[in-house]
Amino acid sequence: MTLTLIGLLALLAAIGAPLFAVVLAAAMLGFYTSQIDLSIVAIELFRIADTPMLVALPLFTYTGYVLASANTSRRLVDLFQAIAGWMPAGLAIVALMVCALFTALTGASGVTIVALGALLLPALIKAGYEERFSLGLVTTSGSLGLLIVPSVPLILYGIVAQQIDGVTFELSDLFVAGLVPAALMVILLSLWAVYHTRGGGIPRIAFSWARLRDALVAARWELPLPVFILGGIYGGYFAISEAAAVTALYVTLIEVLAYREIRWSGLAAIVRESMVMVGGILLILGAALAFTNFLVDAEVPQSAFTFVSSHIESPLTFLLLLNLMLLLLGAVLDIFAALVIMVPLILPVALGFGIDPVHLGIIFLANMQIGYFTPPIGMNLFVASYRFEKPVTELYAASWPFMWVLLIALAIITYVPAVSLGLGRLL
Amino acid sequence: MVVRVSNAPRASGALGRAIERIEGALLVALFGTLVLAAVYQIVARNLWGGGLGWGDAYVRIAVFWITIIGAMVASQSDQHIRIDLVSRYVSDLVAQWIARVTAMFTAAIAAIFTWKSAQFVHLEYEDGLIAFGVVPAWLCEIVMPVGFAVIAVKYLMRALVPPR
Repeated sequence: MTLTLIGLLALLAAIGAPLFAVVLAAAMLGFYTSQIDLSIVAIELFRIADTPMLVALPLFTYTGYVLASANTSRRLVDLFQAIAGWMPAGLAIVALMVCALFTALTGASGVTIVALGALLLPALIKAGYEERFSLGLVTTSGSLGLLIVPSVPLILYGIVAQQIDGVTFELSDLFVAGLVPAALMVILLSLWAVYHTRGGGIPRIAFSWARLRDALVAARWELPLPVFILGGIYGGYFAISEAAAVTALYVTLIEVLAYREIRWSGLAAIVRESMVMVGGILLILGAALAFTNFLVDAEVPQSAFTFVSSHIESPLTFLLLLNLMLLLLGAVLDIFAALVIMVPLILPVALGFGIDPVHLGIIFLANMQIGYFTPPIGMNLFVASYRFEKPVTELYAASWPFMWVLLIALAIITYVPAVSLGLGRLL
Repeated sequence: MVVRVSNAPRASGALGRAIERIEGALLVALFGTLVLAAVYQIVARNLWGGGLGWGDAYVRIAVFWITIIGAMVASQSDQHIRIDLVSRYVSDLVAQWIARVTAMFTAAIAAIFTWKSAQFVHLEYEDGLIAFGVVPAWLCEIVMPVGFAVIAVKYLMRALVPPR
């Protein structure tokens, strides 16, 4: 009976039932079979109000929506063009860096492709890059930057992982750990861009101090943003929500009063849209908290570890299988849902294999990042298809080479823990 | 995602529009006070060594209310996070029937949760616990049954009269 119901829930999830309802139903089913009153699910959901760090989530999500609604993307492109446009494959490298930073600020909700793709794709093609290469670059870059603070998925991983018994690390450890892997991805993709455009087909642009000065002046109000946010890193746990609050207030003031690109009346719509997104994410988190609690009561994580370790001996094999599973998952499941549902299941098993929870977070997100454009249903393929009015199959072909580059980066990140953990040990 | 949200369908009927306006106003009010309270706490702590005693609790409760009310709004246009494996590969008619089934399921789960969370809130009311300041705990938690009742009704409507 229970198995039939579990199968039914899986089917409902597969045909598109809202995941909050599926996870809530799973939690209810679990507690019901354990003969526990279902009011416990409400108590568990209310734990959202007992997690102070969660405050950072609505604040950073709102900040991302504000920046995406203003002309920040154009100023960012101009600034990086002035800084790095002179390099070989300059514009492609600029595109990669800008997309990574913008995604860190806005979260990989497709906004990067919508806001930056519209600027970068025509610019790349005009500068002489092949259309297919440019499409692939922009589509792939839509999720680049997930590992850079203050990316909301990165924060969410930290919060979810810290709910698990026996896991102790600071959010700031996670932020530091993401920097080198993110840089590795940008560098490998940049090398690929340089290699792809070898032969001098793309005219180089000379560096210009005047241009850099103009771009700096234009972006003067947004330049302090990294200072606010990085201020949170070194403060640690409480400072991140403080940094988030100050950042939210600051971007509101500069975009409304200094740049005048958003009206006060427009802010209401931005708040509404961003909070609907936050509500969707946190509701699944709340349901997942309840579900996870049931799993822990039923000792499922221990059984999972016993099962996995009886079939797999070496941590390396475990990591390889983990990568395969997460890549598939990333293509099918929304990143936030994947984080709150899968991390409580996977993390205890990974700990059993001696994998550092911070390292696991970076591996998890790096896989999810690639899953965004994994055929056939990676979300960014469809966002790009819609935005650039190209058939999805053309985007499969266009993003294919970039995927290989990022898979190499993923392999390095997975099998060389020092890439993620080394910087934190140095600091 | 910004693009899709902007094109979200609007509620129909006077009651639907009234609920929509209340939801929107509450989200703006909660988020606005959340930012101001959080920033005030920082400033107060650094300038005169202590913020509002109830400030941190208010911020956490506001996040919870935003969660439920945001989810209520998302239910209006069915924007909840989902796995979308089949809708692109089946005919419109089949897709519509699938949507009816999943909406009915969602309505049922939300209804059970409404009932169970109402029981929880009732117990808390009888216990008379205080959440922060003079605000009792049940008042903070009441958003659960109310919000899920609205979600249940919205999905029930979606199952019975699917929007075109």
